[in-house]
Amino acid sequence: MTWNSLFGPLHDVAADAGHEDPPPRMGFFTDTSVCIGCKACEVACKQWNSVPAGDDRTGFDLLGLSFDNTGALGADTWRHVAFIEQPAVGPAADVLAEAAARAEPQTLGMPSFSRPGDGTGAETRTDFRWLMSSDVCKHCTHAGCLDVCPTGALFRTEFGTVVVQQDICNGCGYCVSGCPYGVIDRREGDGRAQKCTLCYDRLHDGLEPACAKACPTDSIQFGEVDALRERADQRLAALHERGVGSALLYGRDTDDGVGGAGAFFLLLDEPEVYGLPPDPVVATRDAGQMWRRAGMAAAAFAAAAVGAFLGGRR
Amino acid sequence: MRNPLYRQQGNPTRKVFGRKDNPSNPAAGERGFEVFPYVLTTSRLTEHHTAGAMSRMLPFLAELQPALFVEVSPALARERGLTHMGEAHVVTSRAAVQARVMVTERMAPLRLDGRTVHQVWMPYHWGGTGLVTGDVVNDLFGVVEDPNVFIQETKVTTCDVRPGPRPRGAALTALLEEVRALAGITAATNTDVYTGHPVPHLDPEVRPDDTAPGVPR
Repeated sequence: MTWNSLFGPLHDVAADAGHEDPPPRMGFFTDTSVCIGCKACEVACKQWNSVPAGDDRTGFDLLGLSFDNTGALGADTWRHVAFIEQPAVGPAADVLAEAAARAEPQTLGMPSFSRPGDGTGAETRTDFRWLMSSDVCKHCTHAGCLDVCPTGALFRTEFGTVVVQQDICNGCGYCVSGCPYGVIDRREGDGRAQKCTLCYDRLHDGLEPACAKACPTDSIQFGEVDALRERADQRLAALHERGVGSALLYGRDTDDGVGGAGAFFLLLDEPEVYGLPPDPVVATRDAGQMWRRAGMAAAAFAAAAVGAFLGGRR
Repeated sequence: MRNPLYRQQGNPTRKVFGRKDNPSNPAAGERGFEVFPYVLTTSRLTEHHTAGAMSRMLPFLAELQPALFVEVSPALARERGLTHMGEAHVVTSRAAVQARVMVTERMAPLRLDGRTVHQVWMPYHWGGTGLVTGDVVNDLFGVVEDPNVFIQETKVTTCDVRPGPRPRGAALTALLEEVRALAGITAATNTDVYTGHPVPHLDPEVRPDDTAPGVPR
């Protein structure tokens, strides 16, 4: 085993996992700049994968997180559409506040020539902005859940994705703490770990995953990871050219803490705004060093024990 | 506020039903208008289909929008003592409907005719059956119909928003009697369709050449 299979850039993840002559690595590119928050991906995912409704943490309850009543990814939520409300803070907001203070009539909310959210940063935003983003399992190059799974229930597919086999999972829950994104979770009353399979069954039949199929704006794009990365780079460049300087790619960088994600995102603000960890690191990054240090400690104890006997003779 | 361009304030051909069981809120500028100081609009959510009779039965859709809510601005929430995700009830002369409170910057107050007018918004997809249930928002609206195909006007009205759950049974009837009395509402309120200048082609007494529409005689 090379250190590369635990951390760092890795081109052919399926071959690294032992697949012979695997098909290209498949993944998602989620372009949140065109997400309209319809939640069709959530419904399509649950319908196809028979994921139960009524999340065990939230149930049928209003969460008060804008129009998001799903809350977060979990055992019963493999796609989650986040709604982030960002109030106007730019010059126009100041004008409104001033007008309110002076109690003078002003035109409010009339059609303007710039679209909401067109500005490059919070200081230029002249209108309320709604950020919508469909989150999903990242299918990491180095998957924390997979590397800590003691039963082999989690495995790397020939498509480079990460899937749980429910008939093998014993519900130990190591993967839950091993995931740097908090994606995988155990189902209440069942105990086994559940997460997005990137529709492994559909991929076998040459179909795209249910969420990507249902997405009406192509915010969720499915394809070969290499092609998607190229497309993401082009989209980012186009947005930057049009003045959306805050746009960034999340999970695209193969040098990041998980070796690049198989499902990556184009975001319009910092990852923290969307509830995504800014710098996720797979726990196995430090595995080699931990073993070396454990070895050094063991050697030191052994030396001390030998020393104690040698010293006793004196 | 009143329309400053025309004396006729509404569609002069609309169908009204002046009945005791179909009261209307007073129009802007009329006596009792202040009892219903806020503007209520309703519309749909993506997750539900029309009144929700079908989509409330589907678990995957019902869980995405599981309860009736009323969106208010932070300023209105302070004014009326409403708390985010707490219970409130919206009152018109016709009904009171209970909903959870969603405080959001999206509901910006308007400045109209020199005063601040708060608007509230509700989706209307709930009823008494299904996996998720709630009050019927369209109960808040009186029946007024368009003259061509008789579609009722159920998109906008004036209202009051009060914190806490709505009263039930006889207490609810008493509340509605109370607000109607306070606003001086009778069966005749707002059934006066014609509020403007005589329209030549509708009024046999007026010859078209006599005057231009909208100019007082």
